[in-house]
Amino acid sequence: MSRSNSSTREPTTLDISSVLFFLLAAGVVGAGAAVVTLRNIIHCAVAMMICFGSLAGMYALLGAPIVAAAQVLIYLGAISVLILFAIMLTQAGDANLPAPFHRQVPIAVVVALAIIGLVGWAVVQTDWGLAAEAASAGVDAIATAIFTTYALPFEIISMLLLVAIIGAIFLARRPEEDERAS
Amino acid sequence: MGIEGYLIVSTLLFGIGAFGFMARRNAILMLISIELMFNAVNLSLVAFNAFLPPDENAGAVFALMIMAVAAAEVTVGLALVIAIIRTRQTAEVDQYSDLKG
Repeated sequence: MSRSNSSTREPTTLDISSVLFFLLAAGVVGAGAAVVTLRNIIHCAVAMMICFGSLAGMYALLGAPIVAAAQVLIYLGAISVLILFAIMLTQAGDANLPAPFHRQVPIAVVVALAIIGLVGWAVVQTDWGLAAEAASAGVDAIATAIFTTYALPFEIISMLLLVAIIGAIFLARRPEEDERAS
Repeated sequence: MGIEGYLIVSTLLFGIGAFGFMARRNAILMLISIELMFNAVNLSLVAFNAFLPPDENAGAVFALMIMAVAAAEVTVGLALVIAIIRTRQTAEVDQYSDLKG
């Protein structure tokens, strides 16, 4: 919640989109930090869903409603449920609770802070010099772009999804067939 | 809110995801961390699309395509992880040391 204090350095009045931005930013960063630090992996998955939901709100705030809808459908609806199923299929009891981290946590902290510091410094230093307000990306424009300019990548992605489905079925079925063959 | 705020949030989320990928021992948690990094990149793409509008909304289209590729990646990744956990009876990546010389 200390994030909302930093908005007061802006001389402009606090409008509703800024308030929403800071709430959603706190949700994204806080839930993201919870994902990588919580001990119980189910709690991590739930924090991940909160993080994805806050990101959907950010996309809506950025004037990209179709991306927000896809975020809710794909990440909140599909990937989160898939990950929850995988956790429930694989976690036997509380076997993972005692030690969630590797020994090389200090190195990981240093590398992550280096990434954040370097990219954040570049972001702050750059003079963007562009529109202060977000422009809306309408559904019509995005749909036209997908099915005209980006039609070939769209078709390639449909092939990729087909290959991924077949691969996942093959990987998931193999142990059962081995048992049957033996 | 300008573009800097969104890019800072994206940077923080990417750093968190990178830390989780390097520090956590659970294989599924590593996949979740990869998803966090995907989402960070998506946020920066959509922010650039909103504040620096290119022709034909390239940023938003890229974000949608990254979501599709991420869905394919997590499908195969989770299937692999489940297959490994079935054979090794553990989700700890420290235990997967068969190839260690």
